[in-house]
Parts: sequence; C-alpha cells; structure tokens
Amino acid sequence: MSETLLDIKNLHVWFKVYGGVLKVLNGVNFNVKIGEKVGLVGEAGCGKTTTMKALLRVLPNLALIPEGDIFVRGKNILKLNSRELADLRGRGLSMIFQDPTSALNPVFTIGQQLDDIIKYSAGSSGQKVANKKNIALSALHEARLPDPERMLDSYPIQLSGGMRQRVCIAFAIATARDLLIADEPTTNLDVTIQDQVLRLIKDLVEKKGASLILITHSLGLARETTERVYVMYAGNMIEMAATSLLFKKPFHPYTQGLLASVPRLSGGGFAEGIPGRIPNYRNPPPGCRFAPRCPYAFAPCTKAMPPLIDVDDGHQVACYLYQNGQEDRRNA
Amino acid sequence: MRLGPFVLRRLAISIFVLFGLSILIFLIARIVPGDPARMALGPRAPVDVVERLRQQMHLDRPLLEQYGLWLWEVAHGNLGDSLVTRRPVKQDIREFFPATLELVGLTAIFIIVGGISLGVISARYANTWFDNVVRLFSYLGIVTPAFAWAVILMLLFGFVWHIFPTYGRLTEGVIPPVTITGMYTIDSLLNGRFDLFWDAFMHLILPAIALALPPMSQAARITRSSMADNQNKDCIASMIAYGVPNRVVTGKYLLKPSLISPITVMALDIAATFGYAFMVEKIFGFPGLARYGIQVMLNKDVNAIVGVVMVLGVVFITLNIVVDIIVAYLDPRIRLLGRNV
Repeated sequence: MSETLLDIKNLHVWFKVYGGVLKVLNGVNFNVKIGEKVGLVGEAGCGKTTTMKALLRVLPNLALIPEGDIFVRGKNILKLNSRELADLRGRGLSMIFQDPTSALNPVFTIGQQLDDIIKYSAGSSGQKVANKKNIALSALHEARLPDPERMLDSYPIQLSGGMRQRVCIAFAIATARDLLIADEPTTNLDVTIQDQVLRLIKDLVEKKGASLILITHSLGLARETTERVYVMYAGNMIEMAATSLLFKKPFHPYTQGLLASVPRLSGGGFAEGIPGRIPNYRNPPPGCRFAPRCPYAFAPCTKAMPPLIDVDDGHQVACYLYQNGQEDRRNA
Repeated sequence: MRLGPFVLRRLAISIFVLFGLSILIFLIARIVPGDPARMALGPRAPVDVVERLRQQMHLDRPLLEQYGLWLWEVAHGNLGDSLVTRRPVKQDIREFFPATLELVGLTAIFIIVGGISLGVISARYANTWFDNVVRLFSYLGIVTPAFAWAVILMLLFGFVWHIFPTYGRLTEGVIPPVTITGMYTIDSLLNGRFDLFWDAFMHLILPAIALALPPMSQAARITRSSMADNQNKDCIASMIAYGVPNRVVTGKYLLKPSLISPITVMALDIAATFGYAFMVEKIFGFPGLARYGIQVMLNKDVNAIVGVVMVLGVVFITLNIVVDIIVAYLDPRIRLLGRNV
C-alpha cells in the first residue's frame, strides 16, 4: 500500500451566521494516497467544497473549525503559521474551482496571474524562478489553449467559458506537484467539451504522479475518472469504497438512492429520485442526518450518528443497518 | 479603448454640457424674485439710479437677448462685473478659486489616503477591535456634518490647545507671496519662502480635516465593504490556495478590483466639496470660492452667480473625466467593452 498524502480526521466546520451557528461538517474522515484518484460525490450543499476549502485553509472569515485535524504528508496544516502554509500550498496543492468565471481575477491579465502563481510556487518568499514566461507558455499550451502568447495578455472577459476553465487548468499545470483538487470542473461547460477537459485533468495528474480529488455530483464522471469514491451526505462521509465495488454493490441507502436517480438513456421513464432534501444545518437531526429521508430508518438512527464501519474489504459504510457486519433490515 | 480619442470625445461632450449648464443657471439667476439692481444699491437709492443700473446691466432686455449679450462677452473672456465686490467677476474668481483649490486639494489628499488606508486595514482585520473602532468612528464621521467638525476642531485645536491658527489664509499682517498660481502654499514654495509655506499650510489643516472627515468616513466604509465582498470570491481563494502570500493577495489581487467603487464615490465627494465648503470657509474666515458663491447668491449678484456655477461645472466635468480614466485603467471590463463610457 502506498503512502498517505492527505488525511482528514474527524473534521468539523461551523459557520457563524446571524442568530446561530450552521454545523456543516460533522466529523469528516477522508484520506488520499500518493498518486491516487479519489472521487467525492454527493448532492449540492452537502459540504464537498467546504471540506476542500478547509483543507486549503481558504474558508470564509465566518467559518470556524472547532474540532478535527488535517494532515498533509504527516504535517497538521491546522497548526501551521501563514508562512508555512503558503509554502505548503505553493509547493504542492492546487485547486480548480467550480466556476471558472469567478475563479479568475477580472482585473488582471492571465499572464499577470500566472506569473505570481509560478513565482510563489517555489516558496512564499518569491525566489527567482527562471523562465517564468516559458513555464507559463508551456502550461497554456499543454492546456490546449490556442495562441498562448496572446493568451498571456488577455483578460478573463475576453475568453469563453471553456477557455477560462482551461486557463484554470493551466494554472494547475504550471504548479501542481502533489495534489490537484478539481471541484465540479465540467459542470459549467458544454457537454461537448466536458470530456476534453476531464481528459486534460486526468493526463495532468498521471503525468505528474500527483493525486486527484474529483468533486462531482455526477456519478458517471466519478466512475470514469476515479479509483476510489467517497459519498458525502450533509457533512458526513457515509460510504467509501473502490469505485468498481461501490457501483456494483452500494450499501448505504443514500448511495442506493443516488445510483437509482441517475437517468438512463436506454430504458424508458424517469429515474426515481430521493424524496426530501438536505437537512437544515442550524438544527440538524440528532442521529444519522439522512434518517428523515431514509426508507429504512429505525430506532437507533435517531439517537446518534452511526460510525463508519468495514463491511467488505476496503468498503466502509456509516449505517446502523450493517452494524452486525451483514445487512439487517428486519426493522425496516 | 485608446486614451486619446476617449478624452477628446469626453471633452467634446463637456462643451455641450457646459453650454446647457450656462443656459440653466443664467435663467435661474434671473427668474428668482428680487431686483439685482435694487439689492445692489440698497432701499434708499433713487428710482432713476436703479433704472440706470438695470439698463447698464441689460436687465431691461428680453432674456434671450440678455443671454446672447452674455455669450458675446464670455467669448471675449469677460464674465461681467460683480455687484457685491464691484469688480470684474473674472478677477474675483481668480482670487477666490485658488484659495478653495488648495483647500480642497489638501482635503482630497486626506480623503483618499485616509479613506483607502482605513478601509483596507479595517477589511484586513475584519471583526477585530480595530475594525470595530473604525466602523464606529466612520458612522460618527458620516452623520456629523463638516461645519460641526469645523467648530469642534476649532475649539479643541485652536482655542483649548493653541496648535493651529483659526482664521484666514495667513497670519494677520503677513504679506502674501508674489502671485503665480494664487495658491499660497505653492506660490510660497515657488518663491522659496518656506516660512510662508508653513504659515499657509498650517492655516489649511483644520478646515481641510473638517471638510475631509465625512467623505473620508464614507470612503473608508465603501472600501471596507468592497474589500469584504471580494475577499470571499473564488479568485482570491484560488490565489491563496496557490501559495501566493497574503500580503500580495491583499495588496494586489484584492485591492485593485475593490478600489473601483470607492474611487468613483470619492471623486464625486471631492468635486462636491468645492460647493459644500462654504460653511467651513465661513467658520474659518477663509476667503474661498464657496463662501464667495453663497455671498453673491444671497445678494442676487447675477453675473457672479453664473461665473461661480460655471467654474464649479468645469471642476465637476474635469474630475469626472479623470475618474473615468482611472476606472478604465483599473477595470478592463470597462476599457475593453467600452461599458459606461
């Protein structure tokens, strides 16, 4: 088994809002090995992006982390000072954000932004990086952007959505070494270029031997790209398995529902969805956060959050139905 | 967008704006009730003397003809005589405008430097004690009008502690520097008279602070909220996530997009100060254009009113062009798409 790159342990993230606290992340456990491609799936608002922003320490001001640890290569990044943190990010981590329009600064050219990213990728003191321009040009070229030279002098508004997303990928190409986080990288793109962009990301990661975290609500995308998948629901990791295993035999009722709600091209009719929606984070259900929507919920589900337990080789699920090591639905 | 054609176009438009403004203020000055000639000569002046002055000022002619005559004079560089000072309006403006210009100039420096730096520091340390203090005082700054600040500052720093002078442009009895620009601070420097410069400068400080406090507080608040808005955007998170240090992100990637709205507001505030300054000028006995403007308006001094308003119009238009250039420089969305210009 290869070495662990990232290990998130029992992470809680809260948001202070007017008149209360939103308890969004509720003890997230998550790890990524070196060179591994991991998927993180779940419906909108379940805390996928929050988990990643916590990992990069770019949560908004009103967020706090009351509990938990985040280890990158064995270092707890919640305990680093801002300089060590900048060093760590510059050297190893990169993130492609969901919306390429807001992920690029509108008042600086691509070249200006790329220049600083490359400059500080060698460390936060901004040592001299030789051939910054060449690195920038080749990154843009590798991201399959036409006319990289002209691209350097362009502002984001002069580019189309697909080009902007590729520019974001070029940023990652120019610096990524350890870990690339791709947050819904294709959601805002045309179907026709989704595939190209995904291929680009996959190539980049494989070439650099970096790890990938692909955040998506599309199970198909996760299946195509990743080796292992985490399923997240309302701030909890509720299931984790090798991608092929998960699709073959999902355990958690939520995962089952998620798979059943994928529309199929062949076969008639609409897919069945999951009734209800994500709970209010201000007063989340005391037990399993999925219990109110779960067709199999029974007494223990409303008491406490079930822990992640092994149900199969490398297959973990957080559900009381499997607490005896086997499926147990007699109370359902 | 290229700068040359842009400025030329704006200047061309400005001429029409000034033309419209002149018609408007020319009419308003004459429509307002009250006979300028009678007001100038006083209630005891004989009727025939008043009538002669009316004729002399063409006030007996139809409005259109009056305007035509006025334009003819303006074309020859003449703004007519003031009834209050009994001098050519041009000469009055030449004397009073530089005084206000140097006062508002210092005010503008306070507004820009104070407003932006307070806003930036406040945003950088959002929700800390420093931020809270700045926010509290900026509320106070906005709700307290400049003339109230003028009185408070004068009392504290002029009479309780004798730090700053409280009256006029120079200490009584001091002979002003040889006129070059009309601004004492600059003229004294050009003459090499540093003692005079210091004297003139000290006279500017209290009124400039009084004028600057309300718009500066406003600018600080807008800068802070604009920074706070941008702070949580993905493009900032992205830069931080790539390891760009905080000082670079804040000072460059956050500051530039956040300056656009405060700059626009500050420029309008600064332009408005030329007109609003009259109370503060009056309190500090500062012979400026704003004070002169109010004085001539109360006396229905038609030529002077039109002259002062036209000068203010030119000031507004110039500042607007300057701001548009700065904003276009800061924001490529305006520069490249030609939006809002």
